[in-house]
Amino acid sequence: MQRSDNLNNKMKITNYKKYIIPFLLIFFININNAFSASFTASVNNNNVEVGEQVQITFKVDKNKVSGFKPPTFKGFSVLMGPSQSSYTQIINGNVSQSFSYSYVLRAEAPGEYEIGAAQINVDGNVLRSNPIKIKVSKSKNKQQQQVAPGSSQQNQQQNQQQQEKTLSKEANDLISKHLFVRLNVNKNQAYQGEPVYATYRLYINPELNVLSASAPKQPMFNGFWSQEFKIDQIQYSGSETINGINYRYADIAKVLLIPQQIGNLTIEPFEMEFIVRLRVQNQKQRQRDPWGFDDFFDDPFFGGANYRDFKYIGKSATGKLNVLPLPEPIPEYFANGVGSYKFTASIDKNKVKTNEPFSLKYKVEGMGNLKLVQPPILNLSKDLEQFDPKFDENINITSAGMIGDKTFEYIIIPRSPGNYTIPSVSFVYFDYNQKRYFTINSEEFSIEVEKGMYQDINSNYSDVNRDIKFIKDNTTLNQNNRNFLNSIWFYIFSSLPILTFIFIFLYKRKKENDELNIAQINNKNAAKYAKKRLSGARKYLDMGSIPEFYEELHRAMLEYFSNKFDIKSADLSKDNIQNIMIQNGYESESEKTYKILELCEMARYTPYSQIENAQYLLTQSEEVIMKMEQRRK
Amino acid sequence: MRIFNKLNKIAVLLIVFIIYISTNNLVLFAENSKSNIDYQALFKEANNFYKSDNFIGALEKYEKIYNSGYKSSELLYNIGNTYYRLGNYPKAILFYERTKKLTPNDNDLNINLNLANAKIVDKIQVIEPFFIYSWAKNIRDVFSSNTWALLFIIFLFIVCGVYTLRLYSQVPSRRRKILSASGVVSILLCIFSLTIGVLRLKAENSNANAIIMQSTIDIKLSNDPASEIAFTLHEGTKVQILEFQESNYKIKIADGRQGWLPTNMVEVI
Repeated sequence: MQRSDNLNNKMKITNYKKYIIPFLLIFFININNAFSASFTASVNNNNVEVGEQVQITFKVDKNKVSGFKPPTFKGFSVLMGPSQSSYTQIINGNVSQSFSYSYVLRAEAPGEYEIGAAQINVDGNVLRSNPIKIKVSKSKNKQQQQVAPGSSQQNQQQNQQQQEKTLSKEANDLISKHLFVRLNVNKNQAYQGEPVYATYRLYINPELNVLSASAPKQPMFNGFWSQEFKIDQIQYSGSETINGINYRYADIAKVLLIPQQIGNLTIEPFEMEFIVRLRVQNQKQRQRDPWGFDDFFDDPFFGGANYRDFKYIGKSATGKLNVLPLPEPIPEYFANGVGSYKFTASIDKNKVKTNEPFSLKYKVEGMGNLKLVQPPILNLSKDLEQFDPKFDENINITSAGMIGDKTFEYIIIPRSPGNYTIPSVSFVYFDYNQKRYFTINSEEFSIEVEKGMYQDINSNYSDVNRDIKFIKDNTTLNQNNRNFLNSIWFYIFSSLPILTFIFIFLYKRKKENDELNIAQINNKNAAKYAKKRLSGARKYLDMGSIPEFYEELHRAMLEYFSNKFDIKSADLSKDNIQNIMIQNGYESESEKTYKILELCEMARYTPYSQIENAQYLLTQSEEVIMKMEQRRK
Repeated sequence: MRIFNKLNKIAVLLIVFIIYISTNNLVLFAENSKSNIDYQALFKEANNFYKSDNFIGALEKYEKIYNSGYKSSELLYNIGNTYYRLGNYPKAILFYERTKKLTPNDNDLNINLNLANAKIVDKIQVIEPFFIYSWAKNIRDVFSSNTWALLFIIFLFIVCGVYTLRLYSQVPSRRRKILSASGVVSILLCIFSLTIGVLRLKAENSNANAIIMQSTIDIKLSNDPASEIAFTLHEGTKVQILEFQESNYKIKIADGRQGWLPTNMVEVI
């Protein structure tokens, strides 16, 4: 019984330990994340020719990166990039992440180049990539041409090429007289911010057979803010005779330019690519009159000629514009407006409640660089919360500049009640015709702010308690970060009961074990001791001292059962022994034992006893012990 | 018996060790309380300055205590009050919020913090959190982390006591059943108080919030000085720090908007 109880306890305890220990640990484990990353540069080809493309990739094995600074690509031009991509890969549960920037470059000039290190920020650390060397060799086509003339075949080939060259040069000269692009700028001097109108006009002799025309490259207007006019379809708009030749012309591009820098600015030429069909005379005729241009137009059916298509690039001249700075001093409230303007202000309400927005509108109307006009600056009371302005444009672009209006709308939210004035705002612009600054002052507004229904959560208290609560007089100052939780004291105090419990538990188990051992030993030796006692009893019987015999026999039996069943001497009674014997399965012996013990007790207290009876009792006792020991085996 | 003797020896050693540490700590405590007295006196002086409307003098003394590493909720609260009186509302809010980390349920503090918040430019509509979240927060804020830790230890003693009694109780008995049940209950209480205590400790030591110290600041859309402006904030506004990257914080304000700002524009609560 006691053993099973013991086992039971043990199981409960192990369960209990299972819960306690992990939950103590969970909260106090800090995980340190070691940081490491690499940043590498790679190139798909280290050895290229002029004009070939190279792809260069900068790769970092982290996903969260910022502040990428590419190196300078000396000797190369960037065709594409930077293009970014990120990867996440999971192999056998290992997650690897990477982020890359790549460029496609074109080699521009021969030589050996080193592409420097790119920089990147990863978790606050600046990483630098490895530099890369690229060798750029001259293009092979050119090299072939430079190879010394060897065979006659090559010679002939070269001759032909030479002829082709002169032919196309002559064709180029011819076409340029009959087909050209002109740039027309309406001013050659302007103030910074003054609109300038540029037109590119194409002139074509109608008798020239132009097969196709295209504009592969649009001009860039560096130093200008530019707005191109939309031309849906290029159409001939008139004809003009220049140097005795009658041309038809068409406007191919119209641009409004607003100079942003001062000094001499250039307006880039417009480039167009044409394919023109010309009649080329055969070898003989050409020797006499290589082109026979007159024949070409007058009599196209004249025999002996064939047609060829030539590519021609028509380019206008480069425009020049002298940009003057605005006269000094520039007034304080100058809002970048150059032109002639009107300035008006309006307000949508003059009575509002707190936290209810109203809007202020400033409208600039007129002609000039309207799109570049900046919003006016408001100086409002701190109680009027002002938001960044929104603007609304209604602008037509004309050859004289931008005409229309621009409206700036400020949303304002009053935060506390009262009467406020919205001060007048000055709008200053420069008139380039009159060459001076003009100032327009807007109207002044007043607004009445009433207390609103809606209240801020924050201002809930302000009505009840107008002022802050008073300071506190008493305190106990502590050193910083003196937290009991997570301190050594906390761990000591929390381990104390657990350790005590473990000690008690171990102590109890140990004690039980010891008791159990004694019981086992007694059980083993029970018969041995009993036999000793019984032989002692036989001696008394032989000697004829009957009372001592009974006493010894009784003691032998009691001791035997006490050892056998681990019964304490206090509990040694014949009824108890009988019960325990029955419980342990010695039913047949229990009856006899009971009788023996009863007779022993009776004999001990009654003076008249018989020797025959004593003899019988002794054999009976020996029999019981023998049988019980046999059963045990 | 021999094993038990060994255990006995270990127990004795452990007890000696505990006594040794505690005496050491007591000496430390005694030293602390020695210098502590000076700062306590300084605190009183500062309070007197405050009472005689010498706020600059009071602030100087309070800051001296604060900078020496001593801290209490009352000190932080008084510093907040002094800044409020000096009209430096962002700093007042900063110190009130620092007080709030230690004593979140102080009524006076909450009144003053609301008043200071009414004085700043930005009025941000606070999104009401999910009610379970605010309940949990209220439970967490009932006690300080130290009290929760103490509760944990008390419950731990109860757990061990109950299980010791259970060890010596008779096997099939009512007493044993009651002890088992109360043991389970006290284990649950143990786990609860430790969990809440750890959460409270995290809140007390958190650096997740900051106050804007710059009068006006443009919050950028991304961690790049050239990026577009998401919105504008003003001094005194509380922001939640979500992320740190190359001297910039990613922040979130009470209405849920997010953006980036330089770290030197804010002070961490």
